[in-house]
Amino acid sequence: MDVEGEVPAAAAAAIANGLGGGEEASPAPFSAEQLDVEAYAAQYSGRTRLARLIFIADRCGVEAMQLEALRMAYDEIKRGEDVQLHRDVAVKINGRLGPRYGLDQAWVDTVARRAEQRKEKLENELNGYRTNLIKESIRMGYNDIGDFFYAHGQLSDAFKSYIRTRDYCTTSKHIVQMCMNVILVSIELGQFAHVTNYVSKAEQTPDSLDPIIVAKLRAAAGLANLETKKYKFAARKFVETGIELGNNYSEVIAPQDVAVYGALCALASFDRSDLKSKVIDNINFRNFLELVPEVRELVNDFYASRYGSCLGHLEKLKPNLLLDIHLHEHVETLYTDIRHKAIIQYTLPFISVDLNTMATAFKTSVSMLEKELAALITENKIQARIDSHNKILYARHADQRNTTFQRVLQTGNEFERDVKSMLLRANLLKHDYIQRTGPRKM
Amino acid sequence: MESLEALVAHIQGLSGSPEEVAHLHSLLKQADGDSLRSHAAALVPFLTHLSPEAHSLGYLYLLEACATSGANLGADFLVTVADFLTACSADQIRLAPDKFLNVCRVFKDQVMLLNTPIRGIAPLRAAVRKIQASPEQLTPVHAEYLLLCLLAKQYKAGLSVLEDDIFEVDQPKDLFLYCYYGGMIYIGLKKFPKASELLHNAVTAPMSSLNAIAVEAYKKYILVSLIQNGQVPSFPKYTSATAQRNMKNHAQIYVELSTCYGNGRYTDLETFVESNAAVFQSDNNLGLAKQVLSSMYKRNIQRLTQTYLTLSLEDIARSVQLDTPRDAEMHVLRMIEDGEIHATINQKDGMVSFHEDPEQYKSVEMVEHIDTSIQRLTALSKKLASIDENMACDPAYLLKGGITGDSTTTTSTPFHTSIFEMI
Amino acid sequence: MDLSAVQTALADKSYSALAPLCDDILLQAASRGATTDEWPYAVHLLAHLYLNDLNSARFFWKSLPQEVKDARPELAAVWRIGQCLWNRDYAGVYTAAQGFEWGTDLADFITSFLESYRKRIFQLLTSAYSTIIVADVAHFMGMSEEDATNYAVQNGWSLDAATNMLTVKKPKAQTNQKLDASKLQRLTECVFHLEH
Repeated sequence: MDVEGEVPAAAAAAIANGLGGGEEASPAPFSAEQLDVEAYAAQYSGRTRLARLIFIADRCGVEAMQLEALRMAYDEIKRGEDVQLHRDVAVKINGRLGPRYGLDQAWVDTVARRAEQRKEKLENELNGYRTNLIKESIRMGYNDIGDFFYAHGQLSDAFKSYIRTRDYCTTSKHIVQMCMNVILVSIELGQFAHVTNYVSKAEQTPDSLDPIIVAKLRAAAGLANLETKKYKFAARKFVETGIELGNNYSEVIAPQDVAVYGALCALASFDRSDLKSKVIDNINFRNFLELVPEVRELVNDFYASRYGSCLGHLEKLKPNLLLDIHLHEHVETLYTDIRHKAIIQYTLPFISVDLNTMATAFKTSVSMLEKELAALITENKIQARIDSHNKILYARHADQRNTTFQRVLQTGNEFERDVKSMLLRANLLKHDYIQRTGPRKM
Repeated sequence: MESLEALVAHIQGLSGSPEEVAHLHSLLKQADGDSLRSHAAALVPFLTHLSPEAHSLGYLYLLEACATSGANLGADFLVTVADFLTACSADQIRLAPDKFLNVCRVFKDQVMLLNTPIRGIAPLRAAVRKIQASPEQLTPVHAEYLLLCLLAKQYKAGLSVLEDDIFEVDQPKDLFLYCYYGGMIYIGLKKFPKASELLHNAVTAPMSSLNAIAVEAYKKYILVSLIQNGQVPSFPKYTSATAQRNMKNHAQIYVELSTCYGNGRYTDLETFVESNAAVFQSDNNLGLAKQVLSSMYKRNIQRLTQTYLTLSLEDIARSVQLDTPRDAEMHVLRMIEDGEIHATINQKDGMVSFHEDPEQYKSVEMVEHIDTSIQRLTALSKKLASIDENMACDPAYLLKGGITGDSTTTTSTPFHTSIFEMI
Repeated sequence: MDLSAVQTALADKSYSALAPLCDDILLQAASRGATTDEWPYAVHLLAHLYLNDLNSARFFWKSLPQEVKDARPELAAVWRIGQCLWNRDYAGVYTAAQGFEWGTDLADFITSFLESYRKRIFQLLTSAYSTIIVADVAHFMGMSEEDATNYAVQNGWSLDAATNMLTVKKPKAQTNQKLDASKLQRLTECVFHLEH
């Protein structure tokens, strides 16, 4: 039973801590270390860089940061061909960056005209290939059209074109290329079921894959699982991602992201031994963790039961994670899960725990801790009971003998009740037959 | 037709051996009919020449003719019937069960008409035992008896028939009424587990079309389940498709009530009960709905015992939404008194300590309890096995089962299969 | 109507047998259409209360016609006790029981009822409290604070005079642990049966 009554002071403290499990994510301005937008954007390329910049601009709530992100996005878009995105960003800037950063109608018209011509050319070429039935050329034709749509931001058309190349793939390499294209578009479309699907298609090709491709596929699968809230699967995929990934998948994900996503998902979902073997002792994944020392530290803190320090690191990371296009939605859940894991792990070895000591370790008040513990006990995640008078948590050692007796008697009662009511129903049905098959005798 | 005098003489002369009684029965059948009924008023004096115990069959025929004639038979007639029901010979009246049931029905109608249901209780209690071939058999008198108990507010009297397990049913309607009235009696006596068992049987009984009794039983079943367990179990798979499809639509408010209960907030539930009081009132369930409401305090306090070893009265009051620590103390005390929690109150510190169930399963009483449970279950298992065997040999079943083996309708599903699904 | 059995039970002070006895006689009498003016309603109601069978007591009261209730002040007085019990007005029970001049038929029965009620409440306090203030004990037991303290101390409780707080002495739970050999035999047979 969770104690609903609010304790204002304690609640306020918990919000200041930011870890008061399950509180709504508030789009508050981030006074903490601000994100270096330029350095951040440099990790990515292609459309994801734009998407991330625009996401940061939408979410950060700090005008300077917002404008910087928009300016970079604007410049980048002008180098490409997505006129719709250009319009959107111009509206978002709303003149705040001076006349140089307004809607450039001349550019839009030129690009649109050129696009029209190019599309026509590509379609004509493709039709030619199709009449001649040259498989490889058809595949390339569709691929080019897919690339064209992708560059112009027409994602579902791009998706369809890439999918069409499938029937004309003749080698494993073609299939992998098709899969990678579909995965790229699907991630941007938010169609993560397709991502998972095409990752396994690519992995099933008979020829052995290039290590970079393998790493990319793992990362994409991790992302798909993360977005569909399968954190344990996500963690497994991320920690399996090969270091070959490097900066080769910058159109989707940076190696730093693999470290952060993988570590957080693992902390939230792995048990202690998995955490040790699959994360801490994983030489490959350690390379990723080295890229983000804070995350490496917090994983080690967690494993070494230095929960205060671990939660401190998490807290510092939080503002930036909330600006991550993929992670932001999952930050609260993952943080709550990690916190619960930490609480459970903290209590596990003890027969009794002093709540005052524990509250200090978790940087919270005793009364808030009591509530958290009560909720975890109610969910049967901690086998203990709280001595609220003396502020001590006692492990509950179930009496096997008594529990067994209790269960036996209960099962017996249920059996008796069920059989009786069944016999009764059987009798009624029997009566039904008799009534139908012949006159009733009484 | 023979004269009444002659008939009475036959009755007096032919009530000895089974052969005599059988002969008498054929004579009575000949005499029975409108002619006997038209003499209804004249029959009453003849009854004084007969003994209810010795001449039960003949007495029954005459009595039934009087009872069903519609004639006004006077206040003494009820006493005559009452005496007959108490004294008659079971062997004889079971030869003419329909007559006997008629008499019981008219008798019940009469005491209800006079607004003196209590008059019918003792006689109908006796009547149930006379007409039953075995204590496991359900008769139409059962429901009539329980109805009178309810009307006369003699709830405890109802237990005398409810405590026997019923297995044999002739008319589904008897069962629905028996379960419904029986459920109400157990509710009145606050024996909720038994009440829910009976109501559950009414809800899950095979039915090809929805009946009003089952719907009313379902409403009460929801309320009782909430009081007892804090939640309503979903329909078991053997529930008829009719019930599963339609029952909830007819008990919308009740389903919503259980959802509201699940949220665990007393004030929300209170508001819900108040704003739907009219519905509960018109279903005669308002009192029960209020018990659902107060059960929430209990349930919430019980939940605390799973989490805390000690908790201050103040925290208890706050977490279960009671106004003062003293209110919490009184609730805890009441629950200790009723054996619903194991706890001690420490007034000095304003704390409550919750304990585990002190039952150690070592006492002689417990061993005896377990022993009797095992005996009962063994007997039940044997019964199950024998019924299963009987069924497998029943030609009607084989015929029906053979023809409609894979039919999808509930009523023609071979009940044989349904037994195996259950176990 | 033959009330001699009721009179005998009252005279013998076999109060716990009264409720089923009264129930039965009443139903039999009713079935013969007898008038019930003579019926000892107050005794019948008190018999239910004596067994702490509040449901039966309440239904019995509810089943009575208004004129019966109006004409019998003693019956109404018994019901006031019943109401206190129903509402768990622990102290009210004593006030209601002591606030009426009971007839000779009932006086002993009431005394006996109060005695057993007080015993039951003391047992409840013993199991439900570890410490309790004197005033509350007096309230629950329907006694003066002094009498209540004495009563409690006689039962092994200890008093902290400074805070007026009593510490409850819990009786050692007595469980009969001797096992009947035949029961064990049956259990053994049952287990044997299951294993083979």
